[in-house]
Amino acid sequence: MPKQDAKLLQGTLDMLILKAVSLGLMHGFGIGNRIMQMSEDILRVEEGSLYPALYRIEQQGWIESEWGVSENNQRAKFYRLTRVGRKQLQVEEENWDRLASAVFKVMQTV
Amino acid sequence: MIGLVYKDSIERDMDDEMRFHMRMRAQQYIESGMSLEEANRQARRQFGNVGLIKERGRRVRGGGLMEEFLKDLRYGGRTLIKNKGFTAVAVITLALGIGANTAIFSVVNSVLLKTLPYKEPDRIVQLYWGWPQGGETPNVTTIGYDYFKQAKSFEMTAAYASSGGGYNLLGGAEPLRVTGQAISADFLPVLGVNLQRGRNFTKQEDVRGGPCVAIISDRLWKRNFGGSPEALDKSVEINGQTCTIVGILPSGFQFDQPIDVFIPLRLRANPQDNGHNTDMVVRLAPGVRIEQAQEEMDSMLQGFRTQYPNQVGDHDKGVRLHSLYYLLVGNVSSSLKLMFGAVAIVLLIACANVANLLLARAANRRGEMAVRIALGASRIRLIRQLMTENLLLAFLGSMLGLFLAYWTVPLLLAISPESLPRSVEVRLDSRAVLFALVAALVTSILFGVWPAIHASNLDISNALKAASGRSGGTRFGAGSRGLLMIIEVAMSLVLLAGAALLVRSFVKLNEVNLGFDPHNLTALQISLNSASYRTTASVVDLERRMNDRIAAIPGVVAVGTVPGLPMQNGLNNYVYPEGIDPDRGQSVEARAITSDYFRAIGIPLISGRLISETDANSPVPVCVINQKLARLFWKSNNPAGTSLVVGDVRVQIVGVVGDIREKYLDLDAYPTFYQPISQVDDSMTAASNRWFLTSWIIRTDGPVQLSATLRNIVKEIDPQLPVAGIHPMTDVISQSIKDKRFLMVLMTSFAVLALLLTTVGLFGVISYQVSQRTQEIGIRVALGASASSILRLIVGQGMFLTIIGIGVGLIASFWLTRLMTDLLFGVTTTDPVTFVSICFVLVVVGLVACLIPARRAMRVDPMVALRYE
Repeated sequence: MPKQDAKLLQGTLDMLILKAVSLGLMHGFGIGNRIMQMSEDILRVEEGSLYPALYRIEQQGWIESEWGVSENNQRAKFYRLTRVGRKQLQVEEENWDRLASAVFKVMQTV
Repeated sequence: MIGLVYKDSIERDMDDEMRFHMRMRAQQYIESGMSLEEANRQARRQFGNVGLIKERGRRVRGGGLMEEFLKDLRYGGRTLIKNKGFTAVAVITLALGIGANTAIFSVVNSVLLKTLPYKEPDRIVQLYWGWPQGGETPNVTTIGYDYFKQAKSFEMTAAYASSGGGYNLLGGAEPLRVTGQAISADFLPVLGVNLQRGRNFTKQEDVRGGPCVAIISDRLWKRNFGGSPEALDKSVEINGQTCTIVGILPSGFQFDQPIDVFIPLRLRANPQDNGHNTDMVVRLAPGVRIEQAQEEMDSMLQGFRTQYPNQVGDHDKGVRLHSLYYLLVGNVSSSLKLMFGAVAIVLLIACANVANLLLARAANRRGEMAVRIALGASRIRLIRQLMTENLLLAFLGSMLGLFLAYWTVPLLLAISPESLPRSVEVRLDSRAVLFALVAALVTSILFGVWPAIHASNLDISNALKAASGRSGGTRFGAGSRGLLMIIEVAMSLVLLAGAALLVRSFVKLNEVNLGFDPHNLTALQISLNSASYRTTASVVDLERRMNDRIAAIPGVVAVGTVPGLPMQNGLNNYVYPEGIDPDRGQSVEARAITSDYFRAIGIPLISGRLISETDANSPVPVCVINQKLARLFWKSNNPAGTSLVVGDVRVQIVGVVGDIREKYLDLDAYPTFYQPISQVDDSMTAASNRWFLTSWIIRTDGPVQLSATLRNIVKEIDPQLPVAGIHPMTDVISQSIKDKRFLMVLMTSFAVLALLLTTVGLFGVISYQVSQRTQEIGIRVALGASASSILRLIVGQGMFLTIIGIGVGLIASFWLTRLMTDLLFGVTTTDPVTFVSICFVLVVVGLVACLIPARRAMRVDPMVALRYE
């Protein structure tokens, strides 16, 4: 497995989780996997960061959880985006765009 | 918040979630070719510290405080059980402190804090009379009552006799001598007290010539009448008079002192009598404030003076109003507050001791703290855990303390003086229990916070190294312990100062010149309040026969009789010197004596002569007065030849004798005149017998046990006479200072307790330091230090702390003892002798505490110490 683990800021991780969950009902393991896949293996979220983030986001009310059965017939906790969460995702996305383009502008200057 | 409630299910949830995740991870590894075991192992390792994740998760969720608290509680409990020695010492120390505080609090709560058990007690007011020098007494004259009761500010007024007394009661299960008081018909309505059975006195019963009725207390009803409803309307004999019981008071009723029998006062307003013997208590009209009522009193004073000039002295301040609370509780309030302050200091010392213990233990727990930090606990988390442990410790101490207090409160009541107001209400109630719990909370913070902060303050590598115990204890810890010790010594000194000052006061009080020699003096008291002794002649005859028999007892030097007791209130009578305006007389004490009285009691003759047998048998009225009375009217010690007018009889003064102190030793003597009993008229004798016991004062040449002989004599002469008591006069005197003694005893106990705790604390601190410095001592010895230099080292350390503590304590005491000024007699608040002595005591205590650890230090074997790893 490649050793590069991009260090994610807490805010960024929240946004990625929200994005991952926005694609559909998913359990914790699946969310981590999804992020890894979508980033083509660059962003690997450690369990030690994932779950605290999930609980924090749930506390904020942006996602909600329920127990269900996974694809391999095991009991798992599933998360989905709430209406508030969907709005929050939008806000975070806009912020991120603004931040990224600003950084880009600085780095482009010779 | 949900986390607080559904803690268990949240725990399970998290566990399940983690487990699922790990299984999925393992599944992935298996699919990529690993074996089952390898996959599981990798999955677990990948997951990292599950505990940490759960902890972080828990924290994020905001819940879990409750479950953390419970976990800390369980862990704390286990730690305390493992360290039985420490736990025992700490719990006992705390129990002593909290227990003493709870006991005193119970008393303070019941006496000072609880509202009085009457209807709307803040509307009940007692009338005082303001005297020129600023003193006030809680009574008025009979005319005063009649006059001021008309005030518009008062809704209801009532009167009662200034002093209750002993009454003879016949008709119950057994003949008893009980406490009794005379009250007017409105007394119970003013207080708003309802009888549990029967009725109050009517107005008709409250006038002269009315039928004799009585109201009894619940206590007497149960004890002497079996609590039976037939006690109502029962006929009993009170002081020789037949009376009917018409009412029974509710249980727990107490006004000033516990009184068992109440009879109607039958107040008769007598303009000639200016003796202040009537207590007046009133209920204010609705809406009237006490200040407004006071204004009305002031405005009525001039009218009163004009109408009855002999009732108001030239510089008298007139009627002063004070709340009932002030009357009942006012004069003990400062003493009780002092007690509470003192016992709080004891608790602070106890806390300091426990804090010291904790600081010492903190060093031993380095390893444990380090591991917890490595596992991810934050400093706040550690402190929380330690504080939970401290709370548990404090709670245990508080429970044991409550148990101690429960047994101490009745003991306190038993030794307290009868003058402790509301004593019937004193008990350990729910407020006291609440106090003990709050005390547990507060003390755990007091003794726990500093050691907890100190214990959680470390960086890991040093901590793990130091866990082997080799370092000499942190400088930081040593500094805190030293500081605590200094504070303890200072506080002990403050308490000792208070106690010592009270002790010296008490000793000085005892040395006060009474005016007579109380040693080898016995008082035989008999109540002559019966039909057989209503005439002077009968009393004279009895006294003569008794005196003859008593004088014949071997060892008896002289015997005389007097109504009442010397040093206690006597009959008052209005007198004025012959030749001056009758309205300018005074109410003075009148004592009807037998001729040998002065010799028996030992009052010196100042001028003129004493009363003799001849006087007793002659019809010429004579009297002897005391110096106080002489100076009052004649401003000299030798008015022999002049006469006093008593009633309407002209009585010649034949001599002046010395004064006797009154009941409260720190007050002056009362103007008194003495007449031969044979010259007193029948009505006066009957009245005297009604109010007072007759005392036979017997002087012996050495300590003689007279009790049995006296009782036999009484039985032979008149078997119907009940002996009320036989007391040595020294007992009578000590009764009068029982209040002061009580305070002194309590204060001294606290000081001793404080001293004990401080000694133990100092001992602990020095011992600990010695054990920590064993290596260093070994090196010193190896390098040639002598045993005495080691001794000086250790003792020097201890005495350094003690001396500084004494210094701080002295400064604090000089500042604090000012609060005690009212309670002292004959000593100033900065009495040098007292302070020098207690400094000496503390120095000795310090030395004693250092000695044993110092000896242990001296015996350190350098070889063993240096090898001690």
